[in-house]
Amino acid sequence: MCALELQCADPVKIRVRAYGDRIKVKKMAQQLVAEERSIRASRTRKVRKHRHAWFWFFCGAGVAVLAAELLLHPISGKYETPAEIEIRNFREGQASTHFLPNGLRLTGNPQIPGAQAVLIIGDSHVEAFQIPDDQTMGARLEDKLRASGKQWNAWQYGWSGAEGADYIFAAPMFLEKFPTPYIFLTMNDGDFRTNLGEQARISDHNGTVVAEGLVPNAIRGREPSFGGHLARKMKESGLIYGAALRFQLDLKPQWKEHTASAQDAFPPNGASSVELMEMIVRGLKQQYGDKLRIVYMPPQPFSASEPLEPAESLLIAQCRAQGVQCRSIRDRMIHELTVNHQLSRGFSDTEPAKGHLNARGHQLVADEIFDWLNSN
Amino acid sequence: MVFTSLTFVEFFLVVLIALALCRTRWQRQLAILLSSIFFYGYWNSWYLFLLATPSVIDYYCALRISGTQVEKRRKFWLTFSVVSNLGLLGYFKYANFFVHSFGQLLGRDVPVLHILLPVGISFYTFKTMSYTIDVYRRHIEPCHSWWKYAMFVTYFPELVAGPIVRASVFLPQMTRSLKPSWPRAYVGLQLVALGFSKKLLIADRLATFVDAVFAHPPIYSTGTIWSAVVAYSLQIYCDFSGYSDIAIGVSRIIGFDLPENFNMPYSSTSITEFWRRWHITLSQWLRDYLYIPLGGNRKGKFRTYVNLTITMLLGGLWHGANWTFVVWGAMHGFALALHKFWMDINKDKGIKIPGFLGWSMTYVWVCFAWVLFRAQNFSTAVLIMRKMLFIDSVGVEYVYFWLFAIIPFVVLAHLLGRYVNDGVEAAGRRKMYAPLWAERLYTGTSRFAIRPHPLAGTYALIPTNSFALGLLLTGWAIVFYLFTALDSSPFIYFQF
Repeated sequence: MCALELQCADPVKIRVRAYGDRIKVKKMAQQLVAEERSIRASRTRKVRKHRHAWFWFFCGAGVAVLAAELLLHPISGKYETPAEIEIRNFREGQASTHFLPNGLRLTGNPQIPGAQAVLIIGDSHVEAFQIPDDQTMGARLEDKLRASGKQWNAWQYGWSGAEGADYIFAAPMFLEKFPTPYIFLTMNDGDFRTNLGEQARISDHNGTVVAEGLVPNAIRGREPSFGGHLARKMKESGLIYGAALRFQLDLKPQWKEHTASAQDAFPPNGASSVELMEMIVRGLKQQYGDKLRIVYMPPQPFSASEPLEPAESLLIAQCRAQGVQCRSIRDRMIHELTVNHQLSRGFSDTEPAKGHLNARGHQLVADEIFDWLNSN
Repeated sequence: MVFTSLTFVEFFLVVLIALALCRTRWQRQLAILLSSIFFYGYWNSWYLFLLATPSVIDYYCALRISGTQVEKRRKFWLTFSVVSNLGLLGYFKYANFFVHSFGQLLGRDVPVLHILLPVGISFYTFKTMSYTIDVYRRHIEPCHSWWKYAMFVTYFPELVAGPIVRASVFLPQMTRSLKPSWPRAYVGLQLVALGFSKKLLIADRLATFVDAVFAHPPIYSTGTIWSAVVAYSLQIYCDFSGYSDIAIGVSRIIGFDLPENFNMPYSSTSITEFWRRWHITLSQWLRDYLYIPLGGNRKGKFRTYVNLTITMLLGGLWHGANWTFVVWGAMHGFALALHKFWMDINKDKGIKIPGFLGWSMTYVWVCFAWVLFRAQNFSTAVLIMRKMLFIDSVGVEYVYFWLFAIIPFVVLAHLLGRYVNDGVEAAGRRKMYAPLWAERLYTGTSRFAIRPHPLAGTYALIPTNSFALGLLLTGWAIVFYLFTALDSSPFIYFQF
């Protein structure tokens, strides 16, 4: 079909259309022409308006993203420089935490070069993304030591998910990298999930406990993230870092808020809990020798009459049997609760008495270690 | 299959696709019936037999009632229907409770019967009972198609936790095409999003705090206990009204309009008003099928107070087989009777309690009653109430961040809703113009339109501006993804 339009003098317009061998001639009144033009213009306006609607929609979305980024910036993100790594956390408590590239958590105090040092190792309780630098157990211990006249450093090294087998496996690295006569290993009820079955990570080789497995952070320290410059820059975005963390938590249910009790998994896979505990304590003693002192951090107790949970009683019994120094902060936690009315676990935005040690809990661990050092 | 699970989202998508593929209304109704059967059977397939029982008995009884004019026979079939429904409810929900209580009374240990409590039994037995009673009262005609009646009984959005939909509301809607359409989905999706937000962003967040405090009340201070009780009041509201919003929204998308169940209850200035705004479908059910048959307010003032107390006491028992629920109901019954008494003696004097005082008294009383609703037993409830009354008030001071972050939103939503609603309604009564901003919000001519859902009564936020839509939708998505609790707890009213 083709159309030919002939514009005549006002007030008429003639439209000629050819359909194959037929020709149609249409005479249109001026009013109809105006209406037709108006309809066309209206359609154009609608299309433009539609486009504008989408434009403004995305503008609104952009403003929302920008606002979220600005609001999250102070509380979320990971900033890596060759000298230091800063992690801002808001999922449990809220804190900015700083690490050295070799993996040590900073205490907020200046380090004294060449001074005597105490090494505290552990899992996410020592890594302590929830606690500001100056309120960590290492910082509190350092404060107390220096206040008492001992110009010592407190080194703290923790990594999420570490357990008995990891501490045995990573021992040579600790002994080499952080030479000190005092190694305090903080343990809790989640540290005895090691398999003894087919996928065992610790095994007995002629009386020597051998641990297998990769513990990346403990071996390499906190090296810059995988993915290069762009990935590091992206993690500096509070929104992206927060969303990525949430995605990880959704994928790995065992990481959920760190509130799940490990008691369900103890003893794991029907393994003998006594056998497992015996091997872990023996392995630790073989690796760390006399430098080792274990500080046990139980779940929040609510009264002195509560029975010890299986992991704690077994650990204490095994340590006693094998001559390993071990103390629990249970009594301190109960005292703190009943006298000072303070919980040692949980944060203002999480379930009370559950989850990681809070600032009070860190203080209790520091007090326990300080008293221990003084009693020696 | 919980509404907040991915399984439900997948299930609902399949239902929508099926509805879109069906060519006739009859096919769509059948698709909904089959979906409902699958939905309920997903919990436990044995439940389906239980669900089928009232579906068959009440359908048959209603036909028999309407088929005869002999009053004796009509009464017989009504009694048969009511007894069968209450028998079912009594056995599955209350058998252990009564046996245990009787044993305690005699001072003997009675063995526990191993009876599985079917999900939502309290809701669907009330629904089916109301049907036969309405037929008996000649308020409605009986349904002559068993399939349609079965669809009414098993209709999945409101099957397990309400709103309690009456046949007079649901059955007339069966004439609709039920073909999914965008305008219905647009409003429905907003209600679903609102419900999800209430449940996952508020109720589940508060649940972690409430559960912990109610598990170890002796260690906490008066301030912490009060904040936990306030948190529970918000948790149960957002949990249950969130469920209702999702049910109403899902239903709206399918093509049915369910009645409203909540209307800003914590803005009530009297306990009577509270029960007009809280779990509205249950309140209306109790009024129509219990309070009025007991005599209502027709048999003198004293009888009115007694009837109110009995109605609420049984309403409390409906919630759960535990004496704490009975006392909870009695507390509300007593308060209702007291309020009625106050109104009666002040009818002529014109004495009015100031709004804020009325609100404070109502909210505090409701909070005290929630303690009984939430506590596992009386000793825990008494311990918590002692703490609330500043007896033995020392303990851990725990300031829960999320509670104080959430309260302003809830207060703002209640205030805004009330002002918009009351402002326009009052202006309408006085034949005056409402304030311009209220009028604009109400009618949707402003940038943000907060208007009552035509049937559901729920307030839906409908931005009419593209920029605002993009801002709100993206902001909501970010907040929802980052801040929803990782573990969703089951809906509280599932246990009833």
